[in-house]
Amino acid sequence: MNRKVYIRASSQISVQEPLCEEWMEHPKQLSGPSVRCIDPDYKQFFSPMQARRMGLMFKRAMVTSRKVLETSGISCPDAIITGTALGCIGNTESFLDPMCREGESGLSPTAFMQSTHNTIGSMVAIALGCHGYNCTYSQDGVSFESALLDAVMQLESGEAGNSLVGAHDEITDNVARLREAIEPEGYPFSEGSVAMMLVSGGRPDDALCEVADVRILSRPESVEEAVAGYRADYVMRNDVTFSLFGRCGPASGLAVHAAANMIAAGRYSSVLVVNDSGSNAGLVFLKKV
Amino acid sequence: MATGVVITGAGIVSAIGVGKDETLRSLIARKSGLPGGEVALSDLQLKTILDIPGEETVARTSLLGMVAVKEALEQAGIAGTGDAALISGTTVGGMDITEKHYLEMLEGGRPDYFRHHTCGSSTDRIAGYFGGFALVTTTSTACSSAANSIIFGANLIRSGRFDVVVAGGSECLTRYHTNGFDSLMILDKEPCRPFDASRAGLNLGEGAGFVVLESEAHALARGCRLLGRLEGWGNACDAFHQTASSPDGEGAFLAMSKALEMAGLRPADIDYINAHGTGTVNNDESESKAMSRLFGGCVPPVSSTKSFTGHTTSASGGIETVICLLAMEYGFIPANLGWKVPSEGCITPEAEGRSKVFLQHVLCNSFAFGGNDSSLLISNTRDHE
Repeated sequence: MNRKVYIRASSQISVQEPLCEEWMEHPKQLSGPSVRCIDPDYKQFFSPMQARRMGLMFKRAMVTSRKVLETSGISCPDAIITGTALGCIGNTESFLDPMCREGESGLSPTAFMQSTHNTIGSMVAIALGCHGYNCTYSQDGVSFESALLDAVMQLESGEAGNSLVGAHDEITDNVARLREAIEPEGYPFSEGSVAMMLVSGGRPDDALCEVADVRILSRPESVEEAVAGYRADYVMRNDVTFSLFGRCGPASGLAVHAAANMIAAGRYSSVLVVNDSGSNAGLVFLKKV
Repeated sequence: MATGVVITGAGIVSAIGVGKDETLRSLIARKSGLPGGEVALSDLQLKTILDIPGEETVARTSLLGMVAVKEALEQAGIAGTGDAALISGTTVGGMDITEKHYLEMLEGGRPDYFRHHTCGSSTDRIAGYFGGFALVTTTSTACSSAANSIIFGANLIRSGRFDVVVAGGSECLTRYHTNGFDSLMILDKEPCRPFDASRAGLNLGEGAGFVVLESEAHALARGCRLLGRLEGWGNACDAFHQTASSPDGEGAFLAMSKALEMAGLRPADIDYINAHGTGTVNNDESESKAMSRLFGGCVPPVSSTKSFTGHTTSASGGIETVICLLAMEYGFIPANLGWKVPSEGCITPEAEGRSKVFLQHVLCNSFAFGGNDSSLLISNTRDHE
């Protein structure tokens, strides 16, 4: 018998007001080809020295992760699982650009060291001193669902009792231009960071919602049959997700964050987050506890 | 009782050969692919083998992956992949295309090259070659990516979600990470010498290694040959430094310990360890410390086959898993080339290798930047006669 999985806490930094849910009443309307995150004042979270050494995406990941740890009262999760579509693209460019323009000498080892996709997840682990399971997924639009599926499998089996799942991506000027050029139509391109604490076992009354199912479907002809099968109270589609958060790697994670809070607020008894805009589709089904 | 996970197919491509047969011959003949570490086939030659039009833009990571996945599926006798999952590990993804066309992409009116950049797109391309899989995803934990793909794949089977998962990793050489490792000053221009006193860094390599993981019941029902059993795995975080390994090898120790615990085995049951063994001063010492902590004075035979293939980064866990399967099937311990002088603080590897041995249980280590350390415990499906 599988254990039930719950979201106990969740936190976001996105194009909406960060680290709170009040914006959900009056979400900001997005405009322009690309939108950046609204960042909190990081001075309250990092010393000047720490702040200097960390890129914005790392700061966002650290702040959202710490917030859910604090809210859920867990100091060192059993697992830290991260999804990122582009990884540390800013640092990648910092290394790649001079290499392609100026040649192969005098390149910065720091930019390279902090350019692998797992930098985010391991930086969180190092900061928390967590030796538990740690993995990173990078599958474009379903990077978050991949991380979530990994977490859910371990929580269902009891291999982990709690799991910090995050999705983090940043947008650079170059990436914004490239994506706009490739896909000029549609919602603005964006960036974002979301972290959530998943727990299993028992029936925690303080949970936001239950994660009843997570599925990834590769190149489905249609997801509608699967969608209908869930009989969800509310189906949150890509257009709603993108209108709130823009198009970015963590969009579906941010949608799950919003849906979990809507369920916790009593607006719906179940929500199916449908993410089918790319070649792989994600379905996340959340239920009231 | 959780479903058992067995291995029914394996595919490999690296600097020491295309396919298992050539790889086996190189391992036994102690023929190294270093210091170059390149797969002997050009992109065009790979496309020809794969029947892909030469003018098509395909990341080399995808091409190498296709070659290895194809071999693994053929051995397992799986024709249709529509119900299976494909999990690949990569970090480089389509970086070879990005770095080649960087200025053209940004300033020359060819933004479309960016479509090939992501890790996910390189795995999607592999999946597409086989007509698609039911689930496709990519792990990206730098040099332990493939090992983590295999772990995720095993969990997909154990949880009852899938009967067949193709898992492993693929990575081509790029200027990007060659220069990256060079900037960290951990590349040796000579062939690497894991665990040797004179070791002075790693050699990069490229390739792909994939296995077909299957639920035991499904494999038995199909009546196919079992190459091995994935009895345990461990993933732990060293949580020490972004690129350096801790002096006590905590992450490595925990990864191996968890794998043993899951398999219900004692340290003394392990017959061989395919080490991460990059040849850097730091890794080999940290890994040796972890082995000494776990195995005490009785460390089983250890070798690093990176002395043949080079460090194939994200692919290494897949490539070395396939090498472990070959070692179990043909009863040998691969040599640890280049080892001559014991190094203080390091284990003594099997420099010459061994033949005519029976390997019941082996550990395959993959460690990475960020301290993402994983270990796979693979068991022989035959019992010692």
